[in-house]
Amino acid sequence: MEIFKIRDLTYYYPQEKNPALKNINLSINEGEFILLLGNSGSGKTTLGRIFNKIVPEFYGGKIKGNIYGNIEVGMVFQDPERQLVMDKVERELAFGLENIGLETKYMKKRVMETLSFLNIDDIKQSNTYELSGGQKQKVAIGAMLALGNNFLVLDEPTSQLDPSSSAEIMTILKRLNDELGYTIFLIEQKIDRCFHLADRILFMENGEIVYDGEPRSFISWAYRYKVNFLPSISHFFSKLDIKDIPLNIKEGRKLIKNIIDKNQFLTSNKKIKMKKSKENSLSPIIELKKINFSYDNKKNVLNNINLTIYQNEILGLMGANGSGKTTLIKLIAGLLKNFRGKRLVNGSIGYLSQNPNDYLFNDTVYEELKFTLDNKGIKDDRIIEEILKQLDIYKYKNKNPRDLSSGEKQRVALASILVMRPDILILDEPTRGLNLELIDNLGNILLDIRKKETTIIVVTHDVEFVSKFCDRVGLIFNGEIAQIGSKYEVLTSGIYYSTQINKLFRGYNDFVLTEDDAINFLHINKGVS
Amino acid sequence: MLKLHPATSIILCLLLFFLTLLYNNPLYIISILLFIVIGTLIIGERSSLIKVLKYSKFNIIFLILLNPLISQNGRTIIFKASYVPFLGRIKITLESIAFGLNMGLKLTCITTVFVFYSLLSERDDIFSFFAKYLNKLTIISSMTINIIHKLSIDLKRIKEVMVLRGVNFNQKNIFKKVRAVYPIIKIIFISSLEGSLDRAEALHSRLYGKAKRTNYYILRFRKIDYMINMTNLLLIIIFIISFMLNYGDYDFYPTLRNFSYHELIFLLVFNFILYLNLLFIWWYKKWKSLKSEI
Amino acid sequence: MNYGLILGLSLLILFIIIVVSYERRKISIKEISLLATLSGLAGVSRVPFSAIPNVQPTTFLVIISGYVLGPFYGFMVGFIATLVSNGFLGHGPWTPWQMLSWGLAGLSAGILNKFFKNPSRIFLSIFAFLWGFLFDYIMNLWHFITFVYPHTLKSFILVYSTSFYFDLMHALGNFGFMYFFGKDFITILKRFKYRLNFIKEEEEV
Repeated sequence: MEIFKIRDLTYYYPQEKNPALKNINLSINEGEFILLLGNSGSGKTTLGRIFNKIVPEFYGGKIKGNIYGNIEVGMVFQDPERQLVMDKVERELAFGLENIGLETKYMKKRVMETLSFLNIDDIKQSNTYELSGGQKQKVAIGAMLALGNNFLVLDEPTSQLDPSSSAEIMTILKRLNDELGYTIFLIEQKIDRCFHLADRILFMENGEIVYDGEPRSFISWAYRYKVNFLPSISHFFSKLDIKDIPLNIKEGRKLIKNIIDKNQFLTSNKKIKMKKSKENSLSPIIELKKINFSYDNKKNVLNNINLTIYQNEILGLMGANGSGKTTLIKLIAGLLKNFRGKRLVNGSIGYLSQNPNDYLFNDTVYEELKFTLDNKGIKDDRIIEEILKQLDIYKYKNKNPRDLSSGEKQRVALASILVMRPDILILDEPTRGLNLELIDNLGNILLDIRKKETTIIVVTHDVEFVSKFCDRVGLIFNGEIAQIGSKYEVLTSGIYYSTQINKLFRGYNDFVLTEDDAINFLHINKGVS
Repeated sequence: MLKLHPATSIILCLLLFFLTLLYNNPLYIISILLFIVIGTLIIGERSSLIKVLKYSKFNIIFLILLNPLISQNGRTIIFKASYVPFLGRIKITLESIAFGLNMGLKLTCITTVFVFYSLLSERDDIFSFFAKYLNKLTIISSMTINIIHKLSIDLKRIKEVMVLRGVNFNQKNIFKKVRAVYPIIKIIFISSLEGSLDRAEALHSRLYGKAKRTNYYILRFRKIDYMINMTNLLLIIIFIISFMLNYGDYDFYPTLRNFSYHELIFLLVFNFILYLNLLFIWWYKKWKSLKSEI
Repeated sequence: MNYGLILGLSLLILFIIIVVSYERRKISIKEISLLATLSGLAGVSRVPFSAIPNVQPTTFLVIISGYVLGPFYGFMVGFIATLVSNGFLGHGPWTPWQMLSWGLAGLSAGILNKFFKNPSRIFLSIFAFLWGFLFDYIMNLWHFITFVYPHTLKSFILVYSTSFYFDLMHALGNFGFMYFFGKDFITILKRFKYRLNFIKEEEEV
């Protein structure tokens, strides 16, 4: 049953010459799970806001075309911090119901049911501002469920969350769709998380819907036009010159087995010849010995940490939320005092926090870099142009950094640190909120920076990123370093901390982590047979 | 923390506040102060009392010292100086010391009544109460609470970022200090303005302003609320009578006078009614803990 | 006459009038959200930044808000910022007077803008400087009237001189913020107001 129909819709934001949406034709059926993909600036966000009339009621602007469908649409936004209004969870869920003037006795029931469905009964009396990002998003979804909306639009709800919270949110969406038949309209960047849930994919570019169809045919469409929007399994197979590209690991493993059987590959777990890490030949730049730290003198956040970081390496630090990763890098950066143990750092430190907006306040990109130089008392500003060119943002030199896209903002923030020529560069969750293309760009920039004698430490949840760009990986668990070593040692032995490609090849060769490794492996074996 | 109806606690505390301002008679002031202190102790919040007194002790001591210095009234001279810088010739009298002490007590009363108020009703109930009558203001306040929490976390993070970009926050010169703080303030300023649109979208999505609002929590007057409001009413009556008979007043100058027999009787009546509240609070507290055990 | 009591009562009545008239106003969702945001900003910047007491951008932010968004808006920012942030920092008899002081700072900045469309940088800075002193003086006035007797010039000066150092720091901080960054912040807020479009006026920013 059709519940929403958009015909020939074109929309302009106030004072904009170019339309944000162009000739949109879309009809949505009850119970569909629709995934909307596209680059930033493609109009996804604007389209998402058409359904509950934020556009144009809220923003004004010019609109042409027709919108049919009069059901209330629930909306969940990207930033968990900015969509909760009340101070207690229970009150937050009731807030929408109060607004529509529901009687109290019905309200109680709705709120209780929502709490139970989302399994968040235990936090109903908690302060909303003390919740984790994942819990906040759950509450935001709950607020919409309580209102009785059975059509939910979610605008990148997991982009600010870590993988396990993201997975939880996706599970909730799946349950809403499967168990209750709700219609879900999901806008996402990280395709792997949600591709398997969708039964229809939309792709937007320059304000137009350029693809609308089934996931499987999307694969062949994207294979031709948008390789970066393939799920990572399909992305890999797209390089192999195969007709039917598998969607997921299950299908992928079948195919791999076929290839291997056909060619009689060596399936031993022998480590294929990879670049050997040359730990011993390098000199240490950071040494931590028996470090203990606690914020409140009660519970240790860091427990007996011994860590050596070598010159010119890229080290990935991974671990669950609250495991002490962030504390550890703050300690390395010299932001924490009152720790016990020995900290030796042989060089200057640059630090890029999770949110590039924390850096940007000057009127131009150039001034942003100059600010750091002035603080450090460096007179020679030729380095500014050099760094801007290196990061490919020279063209924005005189633009306001706040007007740039998120990927560009991050590069400006990075540039504002790199002008100090730090010996050690620390990045905290640099891939959060970026799409695949931007992540690769960032990784290549890091490889480039490393060439200039810089040591890089990356704290991240992003296994794919680590497997592609890091040399060594450290796993942190409960304030202790559980394992540290070359990425081929660390990322191949776990269940959670491993890549999609690794899951594909496990059993055939456990040491395949990235697409390059996989192609390498298939290639070598072909040579043998 | 008690769970009185917010209206009850507001009326009681406003009464205490204005009684303190109106009465000059130290006996009344001491009675009110004792009431607040004992009430707070019954509720079991000694620490909040100590905290606020620590915070405002300088103000109180200042008042106690200031009055004798500037008031040249009173006849019972304790100390005399022919010249003190700025003040000139001064005399310190017993009456002015008593006056200063009384004012100190009054300020203490007014300070502690705010603490007392915060202990009588739960914040949630206060919110619900005001939401009924002042719904915009309560929503703005609770949004502001959320924003303050978020921004105080942001502040810390941005400060770290700026330290590592070479900003020195340990400036002694006030203008240099202002300059050091500038990036932080500007960043949270811009970021939170951007956030304000997002929050407005969220309000819109929650259908705020779409219909006449109802309330999730319904506050009920309990037995204790009726009881305390009964004494509130009696206190207002007493207040009017005392005002007409000039009983709450006391003249410190020219010499301290004795309290009259009528005054003392009246004080007794006043205290009897006021301290009934303590009995109610004690009973309520005990009854509540008994109930929770079952 | 008991002036302290009268002042206290009139403040209470004033607050009730303001709050009720705010409730009765037609106010858009965007304005509600912006008011909460600016109050949050002003409130959080009361967290002292250093060992130097009273260097807080709160007064500066309240003045900027009033200056750009109008007297009533400015008053509400000061009013709510104080009410909420005192919830964290501690309520006391100072709360209503601080609410009034900061409210008036915002209000007066809004009125200032009605008379001077393009005030010079130094003019605004002196305005902010004066509020550094006025802020505590409003609180002190009640203190003086209620608890100090007799009301002579000497006693007045004594009461007011004790907070001189703090007030001076506050005033100097305000001056610095306004002088160095006033124009900058005003431009940002004006641009944002324009974007919000909640007051429909064709104004060059």
